[in-house]
Amino acid sequence: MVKVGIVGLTGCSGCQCEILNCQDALLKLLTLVDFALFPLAKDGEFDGELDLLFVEGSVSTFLDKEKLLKLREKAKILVAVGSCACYGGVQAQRNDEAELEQMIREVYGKWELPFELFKPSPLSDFVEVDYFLPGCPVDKKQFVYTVASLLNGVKPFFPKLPVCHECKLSENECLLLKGVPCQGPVSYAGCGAPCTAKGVGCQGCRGDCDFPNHQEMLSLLTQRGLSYEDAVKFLKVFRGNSFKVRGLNEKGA
Amino acid sequence: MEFHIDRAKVLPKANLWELLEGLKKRYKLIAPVKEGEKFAFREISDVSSVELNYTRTILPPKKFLLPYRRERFSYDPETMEFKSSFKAEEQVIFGIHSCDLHGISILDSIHLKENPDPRYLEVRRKTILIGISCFPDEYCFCLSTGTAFPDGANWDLFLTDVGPDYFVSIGSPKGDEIVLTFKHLFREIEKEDLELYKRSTAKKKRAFNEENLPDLERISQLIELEYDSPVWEEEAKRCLGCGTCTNTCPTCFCYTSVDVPDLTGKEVKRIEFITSCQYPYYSLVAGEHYFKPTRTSRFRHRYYHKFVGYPYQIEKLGCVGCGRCTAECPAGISMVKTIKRLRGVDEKELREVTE
Ligand code: SF4
Ligand code: SF4
Ligand code: SF4
Ligand code: SF4
Repeated sequence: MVKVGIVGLTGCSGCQCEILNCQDALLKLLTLVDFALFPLAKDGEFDGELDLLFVEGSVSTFLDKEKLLKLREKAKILVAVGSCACYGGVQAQRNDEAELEQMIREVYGKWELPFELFKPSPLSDFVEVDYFLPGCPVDKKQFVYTVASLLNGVKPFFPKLPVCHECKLSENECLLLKGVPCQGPVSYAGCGAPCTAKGVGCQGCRGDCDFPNHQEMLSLLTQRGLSYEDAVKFLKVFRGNSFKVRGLNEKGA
Repeated sequence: MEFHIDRAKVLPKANLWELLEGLKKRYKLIAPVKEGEKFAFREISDVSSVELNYTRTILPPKKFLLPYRRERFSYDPETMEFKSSFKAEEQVIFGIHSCDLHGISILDSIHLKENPDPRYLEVRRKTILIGISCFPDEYCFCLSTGTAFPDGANWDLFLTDVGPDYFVSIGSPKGDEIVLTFKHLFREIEKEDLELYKRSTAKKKRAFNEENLPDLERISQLIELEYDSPVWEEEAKRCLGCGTCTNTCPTCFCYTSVDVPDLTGKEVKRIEFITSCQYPYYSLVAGEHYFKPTRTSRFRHRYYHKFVGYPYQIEKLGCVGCGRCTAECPAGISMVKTIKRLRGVDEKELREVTE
């Protein structure tokens, strides 16, 4: 039987909960795979080889790092689940604005700690990641589709279309046109645009779409009342340290 | 028996609701409704929700002919047995504006001329199209594209508001059948009705503001000659590549497909979904090569297809002047303005010179 592992590093466990919410799919999966390692849902240790490993959370402590490196050795396929694992998550949004020492002093009141900490980082800073499933939390349908594809030897297909694609095809009124800040035009679709359907601008939780035009996005956000600095911070919430303003003057743009 | 199709009838406005009720009993009835500040074509359960005065819906009625996400077939990868769950329903789409009827006629040419798509054909056979007259807002330019009034033979009935009544043009035998079925609701046209009809046509023409209309004279040639114009890059700079302009367009037809297996791997569904030439992914081929590698090339591509490509394919422009691509563009990019800039003539100046 295919051995599957689902583990969390530094994060809120929301993505693992979302996986547990895939009830119908999980029932079917129980007859097809062995959830060998799933500490959130199952007691017991497992130290063997894994065919499929899903990792949630960012790498923020030496424990995260050790766990990740060890599991990577044992896993044939590693999938980063959720925006923390893919990009570092919301906890990484100001990584470029302060030194680690400054952050640690702010949080713990001192610099000397009995263990090693890092700036929250994506898995790919430490190990090779085979597939990325961003989202805060991960989208249930995309999770099931990924599992179904990988179990059957098919490469899952994720075109990095902008959120506007799903928003417009759901026939939502455009929030940007109504003056509401929305990151849809530069963000990676796949969520089904639930935020804009409820009148909340896209927060970009799934990161960048292909060749995003950040330059124009920033100017549209400033025209909707945000200062340039706030507009940049808005885009950085989920894009974390990987964020840099991209526009027309680079390859593919 | 003499074969005879009436060309037009009059429907007193008060009778419209009974007509809609009657249609709803017989078919799946689709019509525009108001939701918040927007309009959308929806399946109707209560005819009083049908909106008769609207400017434009976000998505064109195309979505009821070609769903944005559709299953082509499913198969068992072991036995290679194919199944299709496709089923077309008898439907009436009511309240379509002239531009969107022309849009459907373009889709008909695309999907039925060469290599007819049997599924599209079946949907079209089972669909009755009933149009309604409208007045332009600042984004409409159907007068320039020659689509301000219904034409051709792809629609069934067209209702023109002439005051107390609708002047009902009959476009097909199916339309004639509807009039016959509900003949107690219609009356014969009289000379005055014809006068009113002509007047309403003239009134619509006068409602356009020339500032909002592009000059589409020899547009294919213009676009081709201006291939290297700096206007493309200047406009593309603001383009987000969000795909809204093609996703809302009544004539765009591009789609992509992906095979989605179920967990057991026993059933694979081929899912087709609409895509846009404004996405880099659209032109991505093996080896990470992009046929349209720059934003400028993707931006220009849409204008090329609309004004050069479609004329080659179907001998019609690919734009019906509905204004959606401009009204919905989050970056405020205007098709009419781009065309005016490409022409490079300050029209006001020109008018002054010639006057
Ligand atoms: S609301 Fe946001 S996601 Fe939707 S079309 Fe407008 S910009 Fe795009
Ligand atoms: S709707 Fe506007 S911003 Fe979006 S792809 Fe089209 S032209 Fe570009
Ligand atoms: S190109 Fe724009 S104006 Fe022309 S038909 Fe399409 S959406 Fe309407
Ligand atoms: S190539 Fe672009 S403009 Fe032409 S039909 Fe396809 S999406 Fe529409």
